[in-house]
Amino acid sequence: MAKKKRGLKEEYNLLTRDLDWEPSYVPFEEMYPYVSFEGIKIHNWDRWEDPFRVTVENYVRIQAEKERKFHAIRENIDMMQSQLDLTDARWLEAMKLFAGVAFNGEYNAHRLFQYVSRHVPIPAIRFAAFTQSVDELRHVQNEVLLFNNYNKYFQGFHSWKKVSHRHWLMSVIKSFFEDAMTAGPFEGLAAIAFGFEVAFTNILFVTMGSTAMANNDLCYTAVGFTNQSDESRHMTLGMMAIRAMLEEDPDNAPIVQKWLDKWFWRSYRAFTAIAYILDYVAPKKVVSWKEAFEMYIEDQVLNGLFKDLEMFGIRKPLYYEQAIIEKDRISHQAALILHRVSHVAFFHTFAPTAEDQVWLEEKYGDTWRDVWAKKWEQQTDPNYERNYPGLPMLCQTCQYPMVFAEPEDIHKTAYRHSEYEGETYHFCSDGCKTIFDDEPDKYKEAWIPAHEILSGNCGPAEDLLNYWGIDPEDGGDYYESTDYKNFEKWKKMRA
Amino acid sequence: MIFLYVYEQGNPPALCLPVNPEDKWAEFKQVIGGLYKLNADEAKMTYFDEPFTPQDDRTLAELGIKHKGLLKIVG
Repeated sequence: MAKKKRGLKEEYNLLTRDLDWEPSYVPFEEMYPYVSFEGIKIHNWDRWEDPFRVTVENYVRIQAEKERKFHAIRENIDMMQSQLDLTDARWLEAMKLFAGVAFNGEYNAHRLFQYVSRHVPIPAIRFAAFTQSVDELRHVQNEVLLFNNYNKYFQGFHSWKKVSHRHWLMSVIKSFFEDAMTAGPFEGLAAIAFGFEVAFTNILFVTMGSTAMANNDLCYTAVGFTNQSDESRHMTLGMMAIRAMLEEDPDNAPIVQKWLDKWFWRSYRAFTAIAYILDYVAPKKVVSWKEAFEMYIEDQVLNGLFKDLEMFGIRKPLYYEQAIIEKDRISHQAALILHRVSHVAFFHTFAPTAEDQVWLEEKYGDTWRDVWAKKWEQQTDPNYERNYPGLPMLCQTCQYPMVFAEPEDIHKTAYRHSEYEGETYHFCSDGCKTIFDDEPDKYKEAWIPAHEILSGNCGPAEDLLNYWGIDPEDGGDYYESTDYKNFEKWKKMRA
Repeated sequence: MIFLYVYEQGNPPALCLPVNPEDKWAEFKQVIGGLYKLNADEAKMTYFDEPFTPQDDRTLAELGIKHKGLLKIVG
């Protein structure tokens, strides 16, 4: 007699519940050594369910289908010389930054979710974290393969591994993920599944995705398309994880609140790079950072998501008001310093063109006219020395150059510092200082590129470009670059 | 060698400079004068946010400059 096919729910239960057993020859604490030190109390590990109810069978089937589509598109992009359809090769300066940030970020997310999957004893979370871990690996592999197409024609894509591990600016994102990976498993979940995925990935995939599409970047669009459906699963895991922690015991609320405070600020700071891409790099601009922030962070996260969590005693994240104040600042602050360090970057930078400036004025109004336009005027004066003359001071927590202004005074650079064990540590903001002060023993160990370079830990100064994995031509001004000249030439040839 | 951060107001980020704390101010002021194209004798400075009035014949250490101190050129 033919066996009756199991239903999805039964299949899912067999996979999760029935593969989760009570250990008999080791104590529970030995099997899950990291489960208690963070202080999270879970009483009923079993009652949590993944709304997607993903099983191995349907996960593999769906992902295989996505892979088939993705690789068909990828081969087509390659064959059709789609790089020549770009609005302007300047867009690729954003993709170089994306490659440096996201490849390493996604790979580290893969490692983090392996860790979560191993150490969180909630069966539904373990399996969702396991599939996310496989997703992240798929993302990075596909992105590397796809961007290889750009590497055939453009500078700055050739050494993403060296760049993402070693380049001084990439320590921002490297330290971000390593911070999450060295936290406990529940904090790791709150950090990436909630703080990063739920709160911020819409900006990464939707806003950046529509900007990429507007600039005819089929590569990023293809990546966004195949990644996005995984992201919705990841966001669901983030929500489930937060609800599980908050609903299981009221004592968990203050712990979770601290993580939400920390990872909101860390994610927000990390996204400064995206603000720069949206407002400056994109030749054809779709939405400003300020608009994206208002739509996704203020409306959806602060006034939506956090409102839903109020019933658990959760308030909006610490210093969110400062993030709101900064929404018409950070892209400009980032662009101004990146313009000055292009000689030590793996991407080209440029001052905003006349056309860019019209758009920036339209989006940023008075702040543009009163502050940023004047700064650009000063910085593009022929007598101004463009190349930054040394190593910039970096924040001990977020590792960005210290360019952010005081919340109450846009003209005054913010400086915060703490003394710990007789040493001084500097921060760009109250958010970053608070994070350090809460765990100084962790953050005092941060690998700060400026200090390491000056201490000789990155090899001889004259060989730094090679240490970072960049050629001298990778940096410099976009409008003087071989990339710009080639692109103009190729477009004409094609026409 | 210690690290000293030097910030010129309105021109972030501060520079991270390796300095010898035994260097006299007279030598060091040439360095920042060159970097920021200013006359260090006329510049108004603070160390963190405290008023800073250097003397040429004193060393950076004697002037109270410590590892990872922050010197601000404020006017």
